[in-house]
Amino acid sequence: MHWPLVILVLVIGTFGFIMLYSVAEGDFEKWARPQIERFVIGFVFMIIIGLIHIDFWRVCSPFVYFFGIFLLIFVLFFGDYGGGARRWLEFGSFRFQPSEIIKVGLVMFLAIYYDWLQPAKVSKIFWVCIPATIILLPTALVIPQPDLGTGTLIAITGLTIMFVAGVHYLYFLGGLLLLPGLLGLIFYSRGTSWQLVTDYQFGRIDTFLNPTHDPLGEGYQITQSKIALGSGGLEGKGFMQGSQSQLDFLPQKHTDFIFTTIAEEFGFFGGVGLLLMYSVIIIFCIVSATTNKNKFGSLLTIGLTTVFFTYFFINIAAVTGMVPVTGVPLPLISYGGSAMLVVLGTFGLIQSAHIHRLLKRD
Amino acid sequence: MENEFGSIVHPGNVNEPENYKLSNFRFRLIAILTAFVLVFCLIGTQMIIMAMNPDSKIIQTEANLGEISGRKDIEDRRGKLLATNITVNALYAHPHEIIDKNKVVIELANIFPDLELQFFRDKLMSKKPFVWLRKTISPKQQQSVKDIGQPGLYFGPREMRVYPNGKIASHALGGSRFGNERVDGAEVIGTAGVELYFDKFLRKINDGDSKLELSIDVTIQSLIEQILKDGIGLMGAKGGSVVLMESKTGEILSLASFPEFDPNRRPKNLFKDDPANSPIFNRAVQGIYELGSVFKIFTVALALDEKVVELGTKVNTKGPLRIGGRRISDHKYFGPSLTVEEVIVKSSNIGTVRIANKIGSVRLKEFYKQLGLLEKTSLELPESKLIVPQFPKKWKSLETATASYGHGIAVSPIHLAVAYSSLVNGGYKVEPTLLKNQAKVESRSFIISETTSQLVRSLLGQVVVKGTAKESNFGGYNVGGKTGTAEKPDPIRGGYYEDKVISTFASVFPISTADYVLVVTLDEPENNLGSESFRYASKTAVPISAKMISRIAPLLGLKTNE
Repeated sequence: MHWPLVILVLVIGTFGFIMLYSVAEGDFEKWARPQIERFVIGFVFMIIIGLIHIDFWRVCSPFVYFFGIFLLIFVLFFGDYGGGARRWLEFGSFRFQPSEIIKVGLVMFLAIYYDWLQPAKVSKIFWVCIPATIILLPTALVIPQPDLGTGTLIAITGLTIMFVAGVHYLYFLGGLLLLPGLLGLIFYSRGTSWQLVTDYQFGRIDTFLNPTHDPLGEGYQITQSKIALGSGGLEGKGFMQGSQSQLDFLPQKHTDFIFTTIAEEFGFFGGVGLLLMYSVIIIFCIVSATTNKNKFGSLLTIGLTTVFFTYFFINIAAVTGMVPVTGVPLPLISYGGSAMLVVLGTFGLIQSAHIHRLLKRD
Repeated sequence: MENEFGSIVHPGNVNEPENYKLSNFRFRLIAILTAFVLVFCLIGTQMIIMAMNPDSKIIQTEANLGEISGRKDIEDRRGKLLATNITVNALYAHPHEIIDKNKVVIELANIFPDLELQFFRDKLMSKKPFVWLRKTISPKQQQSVKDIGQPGLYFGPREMRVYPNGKIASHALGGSRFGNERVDGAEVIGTAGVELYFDKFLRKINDGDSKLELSIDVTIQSLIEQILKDGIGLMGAKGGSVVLMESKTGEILSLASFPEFDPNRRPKNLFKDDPANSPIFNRAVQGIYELGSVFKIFTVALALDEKVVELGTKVNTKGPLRIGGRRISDHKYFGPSLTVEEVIVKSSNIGTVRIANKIGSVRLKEFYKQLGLLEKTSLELPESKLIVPQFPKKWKSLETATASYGHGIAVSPIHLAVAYSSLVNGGYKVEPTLLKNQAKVESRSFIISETTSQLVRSLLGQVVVKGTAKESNFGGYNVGGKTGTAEKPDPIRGGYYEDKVISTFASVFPISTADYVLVVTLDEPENNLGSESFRYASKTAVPISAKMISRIAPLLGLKTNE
């Protein structure tokens, strides 16, 4: 067991409870208590997953992927609407997004693919097209939900594994060159009958490009969160003293926008401190991947680390107005069950890979 | 860890193929790690910029304050103020700073007698670091709060919306409320009427327009509201509405609905009761009624325009008429025949139906559509967006017959004003508007000829000279118009009430140029002033309209016929 990692997860989680207590204006029952309960369940879940043998997870990999794909197709037709998007599945009182499962499933499936593929074939065009399809399928299913953010994250995660697995640089260079063309095409398609993304997604993009244009509509959250971040200064206003967040100016202050409260109450140092803790987690994981003799375990660790990284990167970048708001939670801190379980589950898998890192195959 | 990283870049390892692959793998990992670190630095830099740069902070705060203050004024067509902002204070507290909470609670309850002691106790005894106590307070109350002499009580300036004329033009103005509230200001949001319809425009300051200019004339509006209110009181009606429109532009000079309310204290929606009885219900726009005989002029105008009849053409008025199993009759027997002019002047249902039969249902329905009677109006009120006229889907012989005299089809008073304006202004369609000088004059689409429009005016004039509206005194002004008395549909038993009517008078003045159209509608009026009791429009809506016209015509610069 990678104990420093376990402890860091606990520290960040605890920090999250404190912030939820603060944004609820000192009400413990409102968000902090249910969050702690979920965290405890997820934490036990993480330990159990970590103790299970890595070869078990290897066998599971394709099933997780295809189960995720099945759920994505299912949700496309039978999902519940939440906040204007059809991306939720409901089981009794429990709601979750299948796109969370596919992130993990994709990483597992790509890891076992490259584990199985002979290294010499990795850059052959046929053997590049297969993982490309594996990545494209869930991406294409998630974007029309509409969830542009998660779609992009899935693609980035998959590409990272391909890169680490040794696919030739020229493929990525080519992809990079195609990107402006694709973006151009998306904007060109606006208003035509074959529009590639929905109006809602265009609205989000417009808001990102010019947040003050519609200060009480889509841009409202960004403007407010920017004010909150600015008003926090270097040292912050102090615990439970953030006026922007305390005075209800910020919608979603306990979910996607909780980083704003952190930056307002604990200032620049608080925000950077949290960033550093996340960074240390990333470094622990990547080091674990480097020392892992088991290729599946190594790729799995890298992929899941990327998932974790993209989570908090996209969240903080959105809150600070660097990328469009996409509705991605701050991992381990934002109020919410399904993301919390998935994040802790991925740490379980990383632990399993770490524990069995000396098991060399072939 | 560093040793391992070091070994990756060590050139000595490259010779061994196995290690080469491994080092390539590790190199790629390092590349990913580097990318992650770069992204971290990027976020860090952005955060430094946001936290350290005081300029951007101030600009953002000011930009945001701009959104929550300086909502534009609303003025009437002569520049009189209908809505404006005044700066007041809000009262809030940091409870933990207050030393003697009990004293503060008691004192506050004395200063604000409309609030309970318990309200202040709950607020101040809570563990919250911040509580709002009152959204707006007067300068006198502010001084009294200061005199309590306890720390922890604060005042925050804010602009509040005031409607200096009180209840006048309340339905057109709508109302507003506070949105997001901060200690240094509060956002004002329109909740109904033009305040809601033009909310975005009113919030946007520094765009060149400093105010919203309505077509309403507040002097005329207040006269009309007074006469309507008095008239409704005299006749014991449930309510009523008035629309005064410029027939050539569609501009609305007055829009009244009774009962009324004060937009400074806009009542909440009353969900329990019938919403149509609520004071915030805008009868002129939201109320759709079967308006009855006022529709007859549409049928006759079309027949004249299509040249299927002339004013002197004799129409068979023998009755009763049986169509589709229903009996259509007149309120009294008019003899075997009437001229087209007499059908309008005496308001014969049978005659109108026989004229409609000469036109045919397809053309009549099309004409109603051209007059705007079958669709939503484009009036600049959020309420009008919800109101669609009700009419039969299929126009067979019975539906066409009843529609020709205004039954089985329900429209709002605004619809009626638009249709009358379009008939008498020379024959082109107008769109209703609450804005001054907004009418589109370049694209006139004629629905009847100018000659027919003139005939319609003279016909309406005859109604007042010798027909159903002849008994009222219009103060010496030349007026034309048409009455309508429609039995109200009974929603519970079905069919129609026998003793509850909607009484309408749609009038046009001065008759020579037909510049103004006035539509007065009364809900369940009953004239008991004489020895008999009357519900007909000629005894209810007409005298009220006559009074209005005789009072507002001088204000509009019109001359009497003497």
